[in-house]
Order: sequence, then structure tokens, then C-alpha cells
Amino acid sequence: MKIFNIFPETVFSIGPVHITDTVITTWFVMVAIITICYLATRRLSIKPSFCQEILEAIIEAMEKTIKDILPLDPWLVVPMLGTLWIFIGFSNLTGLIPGLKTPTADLNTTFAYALISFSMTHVIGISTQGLKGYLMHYKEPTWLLLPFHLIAEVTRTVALAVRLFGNMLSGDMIAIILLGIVGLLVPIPFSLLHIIIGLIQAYIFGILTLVFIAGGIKAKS
Amino acid sequence: MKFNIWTLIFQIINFVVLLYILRRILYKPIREIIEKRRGLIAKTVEDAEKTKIEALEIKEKHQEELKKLKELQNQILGQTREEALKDRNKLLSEAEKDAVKINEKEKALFDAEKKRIESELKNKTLEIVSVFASNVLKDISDEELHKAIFRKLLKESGKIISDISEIKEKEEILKIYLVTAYPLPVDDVKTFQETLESRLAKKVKMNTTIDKTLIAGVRIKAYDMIYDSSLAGQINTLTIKLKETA
Repeated sequence: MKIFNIFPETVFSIGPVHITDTVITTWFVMVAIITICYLATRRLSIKPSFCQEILEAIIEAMEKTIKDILPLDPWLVVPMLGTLWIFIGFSNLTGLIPGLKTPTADLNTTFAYALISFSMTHVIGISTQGLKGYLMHYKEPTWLLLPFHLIAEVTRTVALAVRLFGNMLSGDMIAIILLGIVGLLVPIPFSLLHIIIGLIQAYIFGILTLVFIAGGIKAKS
Repeated sequence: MKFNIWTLIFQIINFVVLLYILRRILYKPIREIIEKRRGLIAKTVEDAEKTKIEALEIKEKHQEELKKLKELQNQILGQTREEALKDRNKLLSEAEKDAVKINEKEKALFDAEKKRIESELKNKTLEIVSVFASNVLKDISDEELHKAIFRKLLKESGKIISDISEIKEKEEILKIYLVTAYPLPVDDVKTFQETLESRLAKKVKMNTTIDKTLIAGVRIKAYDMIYDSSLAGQINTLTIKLKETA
């Protein structure tokens, strides 16, 4: 059972600071992302190369998605949401590499992202319409719904974290269980499914964050 | 699964670090290049629009000019046509006038010619008539008739003499030229001479010549007075009279 441990383990500790394998994998993911982005954006020109075209298409797709939902300048949230999408997307796919654990299959990671999403919602809400204006949306449509608003704030954040965590952990678990039961080739279709699920979950995480932000802003109008 | 606060903190830090790095190496340059391209495209489109508008303006201008030119052309054409019509009418009226003039001239010429020819015809006719008459008279006349005429002249000599007497001539001898168609008997001449001398109380010298062209009868000439009783003279007188009457 030790071999197939899919839960995070502490690799080393510096005093009270425990560094788990999740954090180390995440660092690798970060290095990979930064390397790719650096190589892709080294030579940008008005007439794009193939690489640049793909990159621009991705960024413009993000921009368009945000523009469709948010009544704000899309570039206000493109870096944050884009990083969220890219980071979660890459993290979700690391599980496919043998020997590496999916960082998002750790509830601590997904909670960290959920907290970022939560704080993003409130920061953007307050910065675009002021603290008072932002808080006004909690009494919509009546004061009676204030408790439910507050509960929703917590539950939707928790749901965000748990949804991603559950999906990724289940994918890893299925792969390992099938590997243990039927051998080498059978888990491949499930791995393919895992790729799709990973990308979709990343997309869902970003879109939900976007919807929450939009919900906080639309209260104004 | 244990809750590990350090993992949470590290993941948040990781996210912030990645966000910062990606902002610098991904979003900023990509955004800049996209905006640059959009600006370029917008500028190109704007330029194209501008060019299009300019082209349209130029086209409109050209069309307007073309229209103006056409109007001018039509105007000039109309003017030319009008002038041509005027000229034509003028020419026509002039031609008509000329034609009338020419007609009149021709008519006058024709009339003159006609008159001339008529008069010629008349003269010719008269000539022919006189020639015919004189020929006829020549045929029918003879010495007897001549004598008869002379005798008649002698009978009427009173009138001749009264005419002659009116001529106040200082010459003593009155020269009388007697032209006769046939030779007259000397007696008759003498009798006539004597009659004249007695009546005028003047000496008379007779100068007798024969001229067949008189047909019959005599012609007497004294000074500038002529008394013609010959047939030729009669016919001549008649012809002149006829000419005058016509």
C-alpha cells in the first residue's frame, strides 16, 4: 500500500515548516509553465509565428470569455484568471506523468486556489464599486436573504475546492486501482478521460470564479 | 488526508509568484503585441475607409464635373442648333427675297424681250405689209395711173402753192425739184411751171428727175418742204402712221 500512496507526504521539514511532495510538484509545474511561456514569448512580432499564434489564440479566447461575462475591462482580470486556468490546467495534467502526484488532488492546494478565487471576487467587487456599494449586494433582493448570502459565500468556496479536489483524486484513484487490478493497457482510456476531465475542471474553476466576480459587480446595476 | 497549513500557504505563495512572473513574460508582451496589431488593423481599416471616402468624393466630383460638362455640351449644342436654325431661316428668307428679285428681274427682262420681240414682229409685219402693198401697187400701177395722179396733183396745185407761198424766201428764182415715177410729158411740166410762176409771181426753175421706186405719182421738193403724192410715199406715210398707233 505504501507504493500506491496517492495522498501527500511530507518530504522534508525545515523547523516547523513541512514541505510536502505536492508543493515540490507544484514547483516543477511552475518551472515548466515559465519555461514554455518564456520560450514562446521570446520573439514576438506583428506577423506571428505558429507558436505565437497558438499563444495569442489562447489569450484572446480568455479575453473574449471574460468580456462576454464581465461588464468591465477584461484585462483587469485576464492575468489572474489566466494564471488560475493555466496553473490548474497544468497541475491537473501532471498526474499523467508516472511517479508524479497531481497537486490538485491535495485538498490543501484546491483550498488555496479557492481562497484566491474568494479573495479575488471581493477585491474586484470592492475596487470597482467601493466597499459600501459592494456590501449593498448582500441585501438584494431583501435583508432577509443576508444570512443565505453569507452561507453561500462560504459554501460555494468550499464547493469550489472540494469539486476540483474530488475530481482529480478520483481520477488518480481510478488509474491506480485499475492498474492494480487489470494491468498496464486498460487504464489508458481512463487516462485520456482524465486529460479531458482535468482541462474541464480547470475551465470550470475559472468560469465559476468569473461568475462570482460578475455576480458581485452586477449587483450595482 | 491531513490538513497542512504549510501546503496551503506555499500554494498561495506559488500562485502569487507565478502570477507575477506570467504577468511579466506572458500577459504584458502578448497584450502589447495584440493591441499593436489591433491598432495597426484599425489604422489600416481607417486608412482604407478614408481612401474609400476620398475615392467616393473624387468619383462624385468627377461625376458632377461630367454632368456639368454634359450640361454645357447640351447648352452649346442647343445654342448651335438655335443659331443654325436662325441662320437657316435667315438664309431661306434671303434666298426667297433673292428668288423674288431674280423672278422680277427675269420677268422684267422677259417682258422687255417680249415687248422687243412684239415690236420687232410688228415692224416686220408692217415691213412685209408695206413691201407687199408696194409690190401689189407696183403690179397694178402703170403710166396711166401715174398720169391720173399727176393730174389730180395739178388740180390740187392751189394748196401746194399756198403752202409754198408761205415760205418767205428772198431768192428770186425758186428751185423746185420734181421727182417722178414715169417721164412726164413736157407740156404738163411746163403747164405746172407756168401755173407756179403766175401764182407766186416768181421765176421757177424746174429740176425733173425720174425715180422708179416711187411706183406712181410725183414728189415735189421746194426748199425744205416736200409734197409727196407718189404711191411709195403714201405707203410710207401709212406705215409710219401704223407704227405710231400700235
